[in-house]
Amino acid sequence: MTYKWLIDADIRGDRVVFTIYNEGTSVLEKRESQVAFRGYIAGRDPHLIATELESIEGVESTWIEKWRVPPYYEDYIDLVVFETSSYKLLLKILKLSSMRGLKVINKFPHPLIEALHRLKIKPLTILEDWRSGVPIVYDWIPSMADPDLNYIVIDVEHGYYTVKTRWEDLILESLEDILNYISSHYFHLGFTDQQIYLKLIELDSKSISRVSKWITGGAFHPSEYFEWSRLSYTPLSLMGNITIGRILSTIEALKARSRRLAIDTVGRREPWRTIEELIVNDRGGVVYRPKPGLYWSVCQIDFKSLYPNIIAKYNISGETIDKSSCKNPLIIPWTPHKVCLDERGVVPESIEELIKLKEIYEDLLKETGKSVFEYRRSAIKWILVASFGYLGYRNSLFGSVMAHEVVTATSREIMMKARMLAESLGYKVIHAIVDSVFIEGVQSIEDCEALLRRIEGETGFKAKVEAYYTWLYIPRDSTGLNGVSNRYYGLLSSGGEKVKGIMAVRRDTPLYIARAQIEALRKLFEAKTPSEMEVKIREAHSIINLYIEHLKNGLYDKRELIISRRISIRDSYKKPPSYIIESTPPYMLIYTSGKLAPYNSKRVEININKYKQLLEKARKELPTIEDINTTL
Amino acid sequence: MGRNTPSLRVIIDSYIERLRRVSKMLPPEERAFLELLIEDIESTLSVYTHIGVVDPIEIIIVHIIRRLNFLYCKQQDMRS
Repeated sequence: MTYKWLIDADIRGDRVVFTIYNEGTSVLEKRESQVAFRGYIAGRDPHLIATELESIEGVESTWIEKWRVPPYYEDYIDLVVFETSSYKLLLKILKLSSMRGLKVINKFPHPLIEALHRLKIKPLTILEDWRSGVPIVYDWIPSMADPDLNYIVIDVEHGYYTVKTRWEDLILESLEDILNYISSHYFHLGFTDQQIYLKLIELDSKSISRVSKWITGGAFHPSEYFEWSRLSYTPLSLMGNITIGRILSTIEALKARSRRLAIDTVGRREPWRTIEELIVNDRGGVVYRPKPGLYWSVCQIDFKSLYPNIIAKYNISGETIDKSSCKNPLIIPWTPHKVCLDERGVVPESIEELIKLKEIYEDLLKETGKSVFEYRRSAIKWILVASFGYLGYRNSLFGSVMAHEVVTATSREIMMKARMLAESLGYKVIHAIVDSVFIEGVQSIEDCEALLRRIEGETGFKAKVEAYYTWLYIPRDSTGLNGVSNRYYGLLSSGGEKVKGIMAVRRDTPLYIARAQIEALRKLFEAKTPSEMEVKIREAHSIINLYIEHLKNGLYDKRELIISRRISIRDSYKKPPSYIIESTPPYMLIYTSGKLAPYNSKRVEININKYKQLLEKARKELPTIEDINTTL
Repeated sequence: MGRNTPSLRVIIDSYIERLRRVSKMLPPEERAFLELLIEDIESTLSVYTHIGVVDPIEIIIVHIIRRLNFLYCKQQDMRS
């Protein structure tokens, strides 16, 4: 059976135009609609404002509603609501209202998003019918597939352009190659970042029109974009410069809208505090500085969506923390703040639904093995990851610094309980980072799972065995003295490997260096015992030596030496490097005499010494024979 | 969020650096002992990330107490 999908909605001139994808014909169709926009105005005499608005031609209806106002949603206000199908008229009325000293409320999210949400028109769902010029869509069920569109995703990795389509994954060297590829195909949708898109337009604005619609919010998979679009009612046309924070805020704002909680830019002010109070309370999560070295039989336990679950469990939201008129406050011993339980907070209400949906996708992924559920799970994970950070962001509509502090304090307490429990059972905690604990000396995966259940019981939060390592190596930092919290790798007892933060997995590492380190790691992963490890360490170091020899003898492909950088001048207060002036982002660079210069296959004098240094740096992330002796 | 102060890690690192500079001016055996005392300070620093601290010197004091105990126990083990 073929369906018609509602792919996008945008404002053309004055009206909302929907893009519909017909699966039967594989064609994108446009259809104008009668979707009406709403405006919200507050003033001293709402009845007079409503009467005046009614007399304007094009305003279809006007009425007065009672809404609650921020910061704590204790007080009510009368808002004049008006409806019009003309976008231009909506903007004109709102502008004139502001000029006349009236207050325009609910300016966020975009009126088109508000209209789609109000009319229950979820983008990227199946079209059922049209009624009174407005599309009707079927209810969305998480197990449904995504529309079968032709798409292209363009990104940069290790200095090369990566192209992903429905049929294939390619690595291309230049933008010209990408344009050639695009011009020999047809795509309904294209996904990339603004920098790459602008470069493509600059080169050939004709060829890129082989892609019907470009979405320049980043090189994410279409299924991720589709999920964000459905969750936040944000059509693809408004995703040009979207951020995860904006998607989250939109979801929260729509939730607030349903409860008639007005959206206004009124911050929740932090009370005066002593410097001692600030130092002790205003902190992040637990981040250990691990001792570098080789560890055997390590159990890594991760709390599942820890921060979002804390937010949901303790009802943490900007408007629920330190609310003076609260009738039912919750005192949390490890923080000076109180949480109000009178009413569900906007943030926990939104987050809770996302956590449940993520679990549904995890189950669907397990049942079906279909990658679409992995992409959707990942899309939600990104929002949940941003949910905590956004709580403390100064422009957050539904957060506050106090709410942020309650979350971090609770996470530190949970991690402390986990550590103390593991140590009481005779284990040693070698590392902890935010929501993850590494415990040494756990003799089997079964013991690791038993420990997990004890930790869940003790803390009251769900966790999972993220990995059980036969051995885990924590490399040294550049000083050679300390470990780095987010750099480690190890051999899993299941036979796989886990590599985090080292050069081999960093996107800006030249392929030559990454390849050398990966090959060296492969040798290490052959070791299952300390005695085998001793042999494999020597072999791994020999591989690095071999790569250095090849460099000296010119046995390399210079394209493998490209380094990619994505920084722009705005990212730094320092004097920008010369390549920023000489080329445009994303930067594809190569080390010439002492500095990074734009890669140009015609004139390249490669600084081999610099690449030797990079190989030595990669070597430093490998264990040494002393590491075996220290841990034995 | 550390809006007002450098991170605890940075402060402790600067104290350790100062102690190392001081130790260079001490007699060799005292220098070695001081080095032993400040070894593995990361483990104490890690514990403090759970509860926070106003005065970073507290971490160094607690660490030195831990190390003295560790070194004492080690010596006892060697004697027995």
